[in-house]
Amino acid sequence: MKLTRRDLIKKGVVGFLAAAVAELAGDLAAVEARDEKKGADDDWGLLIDISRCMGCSRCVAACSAANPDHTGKVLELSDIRLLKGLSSKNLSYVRRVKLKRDGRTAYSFVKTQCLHCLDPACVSACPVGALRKSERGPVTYDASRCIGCRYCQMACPFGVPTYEWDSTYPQVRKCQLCWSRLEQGARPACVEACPVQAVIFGKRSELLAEASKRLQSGKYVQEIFGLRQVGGTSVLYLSDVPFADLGFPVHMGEEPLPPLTWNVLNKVPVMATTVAAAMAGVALYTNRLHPGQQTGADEEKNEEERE
Amino acid sequence: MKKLRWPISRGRMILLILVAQGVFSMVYRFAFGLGSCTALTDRFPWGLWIAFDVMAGVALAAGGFVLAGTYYIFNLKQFRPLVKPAVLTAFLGYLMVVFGLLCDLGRPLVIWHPLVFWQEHSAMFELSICVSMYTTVLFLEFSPILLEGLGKRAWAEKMHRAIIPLAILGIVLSTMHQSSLGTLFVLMPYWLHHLWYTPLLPWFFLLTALAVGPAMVTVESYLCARSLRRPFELTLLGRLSRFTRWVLALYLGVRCFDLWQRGSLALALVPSLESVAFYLELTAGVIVPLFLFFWPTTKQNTGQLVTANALVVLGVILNRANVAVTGLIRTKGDIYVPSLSEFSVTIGLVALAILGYSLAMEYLPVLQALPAAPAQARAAAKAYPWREEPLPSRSGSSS
Repeated sequence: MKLTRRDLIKKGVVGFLAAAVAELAGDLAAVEARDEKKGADDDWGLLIDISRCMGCSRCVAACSAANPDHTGKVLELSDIRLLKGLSSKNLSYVRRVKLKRDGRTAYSFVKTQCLHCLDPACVSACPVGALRKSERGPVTYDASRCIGCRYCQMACPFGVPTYEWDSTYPQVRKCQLCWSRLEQGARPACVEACPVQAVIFGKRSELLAEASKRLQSGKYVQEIFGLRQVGGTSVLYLSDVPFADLGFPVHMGEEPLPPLTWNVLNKVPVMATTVAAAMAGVALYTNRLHPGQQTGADEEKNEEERE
Repeated sequence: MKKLRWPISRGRMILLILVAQGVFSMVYRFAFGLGSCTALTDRFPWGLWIAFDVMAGVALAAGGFVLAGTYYIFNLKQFRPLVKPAVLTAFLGYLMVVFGLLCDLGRPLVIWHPLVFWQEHSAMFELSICVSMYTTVLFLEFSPILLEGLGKRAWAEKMHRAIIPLAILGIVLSTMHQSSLGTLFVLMPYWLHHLWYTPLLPWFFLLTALAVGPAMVTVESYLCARSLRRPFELTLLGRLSRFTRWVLALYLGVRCFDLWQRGSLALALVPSLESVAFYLELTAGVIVPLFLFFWPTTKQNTGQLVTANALVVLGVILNRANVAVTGLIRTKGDIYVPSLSEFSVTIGLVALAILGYSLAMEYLPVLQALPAAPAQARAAAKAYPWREEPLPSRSGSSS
């Protein structure tokens, strides 16, 4: 009776582990197939031309109107002037950079929001799949799944996701490229609000073509920010001032971030099986767990009884 | 099980007050939200609760799986007196981790979501699955002690029969999630200072957990021996430290080699907040304890042995704090200092764990019976006059 039960447990554990490993391996294969299938050419994105932006912040006002905070508050231009960065109340913001150009002071304006990475760190970080890279490009957030661990905030190399610290049932807030407007055939609110077309909306391939066309005019630094940084982003920047001077993270490499963790995590099934097998082997050897002999646990019980 | 007595001792009264103030802060946090009482911001979304309650808490509770493995799997019978206290601490430690996490999560009501919405590309997913499973395993490993304490000896024996598969499962789950705490930060090469950032972080977290588990067991045994007037298991814990020191030496070697190999060693030579934190962590937490561990008299000297182990504990706490906070200060361009409420909750949780430990020590058969020692019994009777039975013993509560 005892032995059969123990055998059952053993078989159960081994069977469970084997099934879990097989299941996970299947999932992983499916995920990798999905990753390889799609190129980014058709992803929707933005092209932001810093040389055109005059810092009027109408895009931020439109953004706030389209995405009010959890109290329903929409920011006025007077509120927007006081902003210091992204927050759960403003998903975008125009950063003012003071520069010396040809010996005199000039300002550049950098529209800042989620860059919608092609391989986003936040999406790989989210333990419940609340953040997703949608088929059409935008990185979207599903609050109904979110547990509020805030790993996305830690993971994002650009420091984009923000949190509703003042709420008792908070959400992560980030630009979703006006996903609900896109579904209705409209363009993102910021794009429609811009009076000088400093930000344009389109497919990534079209935006890149437009960007290379503009680069030939000679007024720009010969670089598209977002072309390759951390694996490429759906939001692209052109600038007439070196990106480093504007405080862009120019030190970032071309490698996407999610494979860093994936290279560790994809070894988990093998590691777990190896550790389990090794420990079971040691236990079988040291406890001589075969019929007619005692287990460590039994001996302990006997010892206790002797006491 | 013995009946709980009143009045309670002064020490426990203090612990109860600490727990109560922690509960108050926790209620406040749930009533008014994270922003109302924590110093957390969008730049520092993780603070004391993640760095200490979760990251250090999980590491310090590693003694449970290390000693369960030593005794049940490797069958090193001499370590038996340490196993039950270690499993108990681990269980209480993980309960503390879970409470800390509930407090830190923005939406604690849906803490179970990772079990349903799988996302295997996330280290956080693996972590949450492993921690929830391991807390269950620890409860099952601890259940024979509880059942025996409740007088259900037959049930306790039934549970005990599953102990070897449980110990194996515990080791597997621990290996996985101790390391995935490090994997969390592998995703942050542009945030974490390169004195700490390395793709080897999972291995370093696992190695330090393997070292700090036994170290924590030693420190606890010492505190427990002092407060219960029991003899300190010097020989046994000295032997345990022979394991700890090799793990620690391996960690130091690989850590330095990795820093050199990635060209980050130069960062340690620049005077900065980070390099000071780095030296403090490595000197106080690894080099000094290693020196003590390899010093020939340490194994026979309670003071030296406990100091060395306490330093290992301190070193791991510093390491987790450096990875989660200090190493991010420069790139985030901001500083994080925990708020009083955050300290209050953490202190409350630690007090709760100590209170639980002390109650379990008294009312459950955790410690082995001592051979009758009249002098000790007299001393204990003097220290705890309200107890009929001064020393907790297995035979006393089970028969």
